[in-house]
This record gives sequence, C-alpha cells and structure tokens, in this order.
Amino acid sequence: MSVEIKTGVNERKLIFAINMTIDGCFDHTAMIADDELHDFYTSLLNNVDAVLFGRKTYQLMESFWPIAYEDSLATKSILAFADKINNIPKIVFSKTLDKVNWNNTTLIKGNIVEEVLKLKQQEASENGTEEEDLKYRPGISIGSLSIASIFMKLNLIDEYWFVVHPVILGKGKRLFEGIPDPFDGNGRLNLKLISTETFKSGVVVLHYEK
Amino acid sequence: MMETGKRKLKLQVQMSVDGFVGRLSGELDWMTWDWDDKIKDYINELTDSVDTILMGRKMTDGFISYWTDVVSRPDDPQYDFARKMVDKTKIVFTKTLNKSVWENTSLAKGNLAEEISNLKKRPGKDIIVYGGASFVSSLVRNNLIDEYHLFINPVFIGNGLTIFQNLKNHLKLDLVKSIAFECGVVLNHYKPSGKN
Repeated sequence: MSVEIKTGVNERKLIFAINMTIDGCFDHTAMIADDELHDFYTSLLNNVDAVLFGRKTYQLMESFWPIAYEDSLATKSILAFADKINNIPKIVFSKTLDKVNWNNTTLIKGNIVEEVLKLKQQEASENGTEEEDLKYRPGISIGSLSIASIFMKLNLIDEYWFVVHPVILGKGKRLFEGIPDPFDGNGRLNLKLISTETFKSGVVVLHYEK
Repeated sequence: MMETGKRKLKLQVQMSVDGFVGRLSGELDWMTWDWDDKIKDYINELTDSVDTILMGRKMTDGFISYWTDVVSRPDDPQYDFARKMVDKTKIVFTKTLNKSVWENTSLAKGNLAEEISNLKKRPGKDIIVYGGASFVSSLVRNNLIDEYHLFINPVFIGNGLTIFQNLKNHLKLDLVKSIAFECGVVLNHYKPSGKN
C-alpha cells in the first residue's frame, strides 16, 4: 500500500498511525508484524519528516530498532523499516530523561502542545527532488498513545491511520482509559473516512481525516 | 469445527472506531444515520438471510416496543424493516422470566451454549443477534458467533459499552470482507479462525 499524506494547508500535518485491535485496544504483542505491515509503515514515514515519541514508546523502540540488523531472520521489509526509523528525525518528549542515544533524536522537555504547534508551523523540509514529491508537504507523525490522546482531545490531529488487526483482546490499554469526558463536553470526536485498505493478514487500515 | 449446512449465528452491530457499541447509558447518538443505498442493501440482505433474532433479557422490552410502534405507522420510512423485526421469531435468553409476554417470542432458559447448539441444528434460515452488550459478550466469550458484521462508524466516543467483556483469552478472527461505504461507515466482516 502506498501512502500519501494529503496537503492543502500551509503547515505540516500532524498524523497519527497506530496498530489496534478490533475492540479498540492497544497491545503491540497482539499484532501481526508481517512484511506488508512493515512496508506500510515505511511508506508512511516516507511522507513524514519527524516522528514524535513519549518516553515509554521511545524506550521500547530505541531498545529494538538500532540492533534489528543483528537478527538473521529479519526480512528485507523489516530492514527497510529499520533504516527508515533509525535515520528519520525523532523527537522525544520527556521531563525525566536526561539524554537520548538513538540516532537523529532530539529530547524536548518543554510544554508538549506548544512545542508541537511550533513544529507544525515550521517550514516543511522538502526532502524530495522530484516534482511529484513536492506536491506533498511532509507531516509529523505521532508515535505514542500518550501524545496522541493529548492532541486528539484538542482535535489537532489532521490525519489518522488506524491499522486494525483481526483480533479481539477484551482488555488492554485504550486511548482514553479512565478519562470520563475526553472530548470536553462534545462527547465525541467526529472523523471523515478517506479510504480503507486490507492486508493479506486480515488487517484493515482505516484512513480518516479530521 | 462447524458442520456445513448448519444455521449460522450472525452478529450485526454498530461500533465506534474505539470499539464501543453504545455510551455507558446505551445511547446511540454518535451513530451515522444518513446511510447510503449500498449500506442499506447490505443490511437488508443480512436481515433477509435470517429468520430468528436472539436477545438478552435487558434489551427485549425496548426492542420490541420500538419496532411494534413503527409498524403501527405505515408511512414511517423504517416501516419495511420494522415489519421484518416484528415478524421474525425472537428468542429471549433469561433466567428470571417464566413466560413470554411478547408476540413471536419464546424464552430460552437453559445453558447458553447448549441452547444455541440446539437452535443451530433446527431447520431454518440463519440466526442473528444485535445486542445487548452483556448478552453478546457471553456469546463472544463462548465463541458461539459464526459471522461478525461490525459496522465501524467514523467517530471516537472515548468510553462506553463493549460486546467484548470478560473474555478469557483473546480471540483471533479471520477477515472475510471489508467494505467502505460512502456514508463513512466501514463494514468489517470476520469469522472466528478455524470455523467454516
């Protein structure tokens, strides 16, 4: 599946792509991490010029991707994703971390909403040289549930890619666990369906915009 | 393994992207209501493939009185569908009621899995269940549903009722089909892994 982040506004899009289960839970151990899934995320990150992490997701990713090459079973798709994620600019929001060691990673301790709004307004770096690439203003991808829930509550996420794996967990982390009124009296966050895609594994990708 | 030729138990339910089938109060105010023709066709086809509706005790009064009321108004846009709901056989699962007070409705008071297994052996069209949340949860928990028809509405509601309460283990499904409808709803049709 090829991914194109749509443009049309003068600032960088904030996008959120996440693996989830049919029942809306998040548990990375329940997911089908096949080549098609890795190719999807690589393609998504090709349209993005920064990835945002909270501390926990950062630490999980940082403990795995820099050494993914040592796994003799790693497929071409896995290695392509490893190259992508290891090299792309990454921003970690944490008040407790003192330093970050992963390649191309910046630690920010300030107010996350202010910092992200600043990032959104920065001139997008134009990675592509071909004309076709320039049609797409790169986005910023949210890589952590904790960050996503903050920006969903504020309705500041421009595009969503929910990658629904064919499994029901029955329990597990949810985006707004224990928050009685996550959408400040509105009771809902309406989305607009853009497209869907299915993978051989039974994964359904739901692509929405706000 | 399912034997072929048996009646299937189908689940049809409206869900939010975050996996809820209703607010904690049961409200469905978040649902997409302006359905396009293709989604209507899909639901009509599903409805016509069944002759029996299973219900939990809690939803029965509301369900039956709602559709009976619509049937009393032949001009109502929902009339045709309501007629089907009223005319189909309904089976209410209850431990407390002794006698059905509704038309076309009988009670099932035995063990859930046995009752469903007996129903599936009887001749007839397929069987459907629409809710409620805790009744469907017990069907899912016992892996009694043969087809999941989940209609994903383009909305997050944050919290609410789920049909996946108290699962013992996680349940792996196979995707049969996914359809994106123009009205923004996505139908994901699954079956349990390993079932025909």
